Amino acid sequence: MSLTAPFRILALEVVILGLTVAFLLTERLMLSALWLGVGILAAVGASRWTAGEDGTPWALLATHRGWAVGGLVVLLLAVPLLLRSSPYWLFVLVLAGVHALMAVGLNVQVGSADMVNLGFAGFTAIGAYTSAILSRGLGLSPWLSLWIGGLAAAAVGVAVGLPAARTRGYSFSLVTIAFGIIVYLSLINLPAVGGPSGLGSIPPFSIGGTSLRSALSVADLHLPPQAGSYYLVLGLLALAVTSALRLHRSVPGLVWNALREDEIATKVLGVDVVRAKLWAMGLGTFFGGIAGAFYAHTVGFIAPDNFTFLHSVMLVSMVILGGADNVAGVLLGAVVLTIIPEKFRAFQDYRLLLYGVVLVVMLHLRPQGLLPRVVRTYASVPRRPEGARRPEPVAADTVAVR
Amino acid sequence: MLDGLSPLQPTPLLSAEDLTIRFGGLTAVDGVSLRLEGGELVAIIGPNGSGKTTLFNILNGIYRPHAGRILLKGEDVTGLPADQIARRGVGRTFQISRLFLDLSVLDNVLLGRVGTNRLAWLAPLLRPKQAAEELADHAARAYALLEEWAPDLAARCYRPARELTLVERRRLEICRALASDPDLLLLDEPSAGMDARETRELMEEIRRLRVRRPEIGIALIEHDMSVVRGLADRVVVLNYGRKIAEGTFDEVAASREVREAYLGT
Repeated sequence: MSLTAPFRILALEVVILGLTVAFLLTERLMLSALWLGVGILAAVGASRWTAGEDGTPWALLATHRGWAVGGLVVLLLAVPLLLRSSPYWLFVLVLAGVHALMAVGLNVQVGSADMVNLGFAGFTAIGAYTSAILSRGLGLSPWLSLWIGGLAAAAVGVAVGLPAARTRGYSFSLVTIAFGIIVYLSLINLPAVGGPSGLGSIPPFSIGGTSLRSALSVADLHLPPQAGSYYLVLGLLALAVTSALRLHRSVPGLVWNALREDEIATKVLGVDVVRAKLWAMGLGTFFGGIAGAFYAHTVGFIAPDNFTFLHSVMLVSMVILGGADNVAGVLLGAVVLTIIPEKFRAFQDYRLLLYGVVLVVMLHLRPQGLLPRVVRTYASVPRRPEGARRPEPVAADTVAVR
Repeated sequence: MLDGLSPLQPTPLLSAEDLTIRFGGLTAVDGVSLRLEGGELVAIIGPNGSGKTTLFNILNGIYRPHAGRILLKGEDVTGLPADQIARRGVGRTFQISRLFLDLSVLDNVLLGRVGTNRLAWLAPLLRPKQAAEELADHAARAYALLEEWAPDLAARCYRPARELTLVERRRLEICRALASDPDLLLLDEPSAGMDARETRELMEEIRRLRVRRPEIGIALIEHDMSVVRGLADRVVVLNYGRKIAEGTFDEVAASREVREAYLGT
């Protein structure tokens, strides 16, 4: 069992990633649809195959975390090699990475704390424009302005949170929609930031004078120009996922979950709920701002139309489709909802319809998302078999020593 | 150590004076005063709509009174928000339990523990190892508390609270309130919906609580007179938001005004 477990995990990862690449490389629409079907079946089958007692692969993945993460990293690093012949799809994966980065941030709000932020694109715009202007106008290195963009988005997130944190449910969503629209209209009407035509010639990330937008060639391997951005977004994503998981598995994540379940009960337990929401706003939008800034420097051009209400809806759809409050699920949701619309571009007029259908179908059939959230377990509290009783109940007159 | 009866403390645990709150034209709580010493159990009774739960909501800061004063261990806490009052040692349960239903049994108790702590929001990012250890330590203590008070729930500590029966939910909510180590515990109708046997078990648990945590003061809203008679050191009777009687169970039961309030004239 323990011998085969790492093998199973690696096989699972190879199958899923292999099918994804095959799906990307298939030109014919019908064939792509076929791959999609096979892929879904294979993913379901493989996860059944690795499932533990509770019917999910999580327990197995947790016990063999080294194998799971190591295998995934190696496979992901190899993707640009496989996609050498189609840089376009590598770029789509970079976009998926940007969306994943945003969705991981948004998940802190939507998934953990049930703060359905429908103006998230506005916060990513703050990050993108801040970083773009700092590097373009003031000559700041994109490596530095990226973080300032994140901080600027976080600051605006907290500022919007100050009034918004006093609301909840639909009211909160309305406040955030309003914010998103304010940002969009402001960008259009401010000539200083390019107005409707946006900002161009944003400097790229560069290492030692070499732009990350130029083609990489290591030894005899020639990678497409998108490979540099791909690796960078993977790095940022690794950072964001680690942070998100650490938050989830500690007191803040727990408190946000409590907020989601019952705000009054949370308050009565001594939690300053406004402050808890402000942290969710700040930390979530920080990731969003970084994602926006990364996008600006990678593409080199941003315009208000990159940050519309539609983008906010798309990001919320990604969180809900993948699995609210499950970081792995959110990544999956972001990748799926980036690749599928791109693959079926012929139907792109129906994109908004797709998000709507995805949201309605998921909320009805599987509200927990593709990958539902997992119950927290603690090493200090062993999992005991169901219904196992203590042999001897504590006698009523024993006085506990504390 | 228990050394007989503790002498009356100079500052009572809770001293609420002339609390009044109005909703529109209705005075829900009208000039009610309440004193409670550590270790004491006071039952608050009264017909439906007499202001019992509203009184609790004022005492733990959910509502702000229009008049009156609340002193906790001598400190004026009138008008402080609920989280501030919880941090000063007031725990409560609700008439319709307000558990975090989609979280595990253990996480519910764990939140009772960590809620009153100072939350270090960036600690998981800056000091991940230490933050993880702290949480594991809190979890172990929360589990120990469950084992002490509800071994049957401890055995199911990783199940979502939604799976519990109404009675189990109520007991879990008491555990959650206890996890914050309160000085004052406000129990809002803990026996509601329980049958006779479950009610007896609940009374046993509350007695056990008073033995093991002799310093806790408890205010208990209750409709079941057997519970009131069996547990309460003192009984306060509310009617139409006013306090109409206060005393031992027998004294209160003998009052004509109380009988009229309950039975009509």
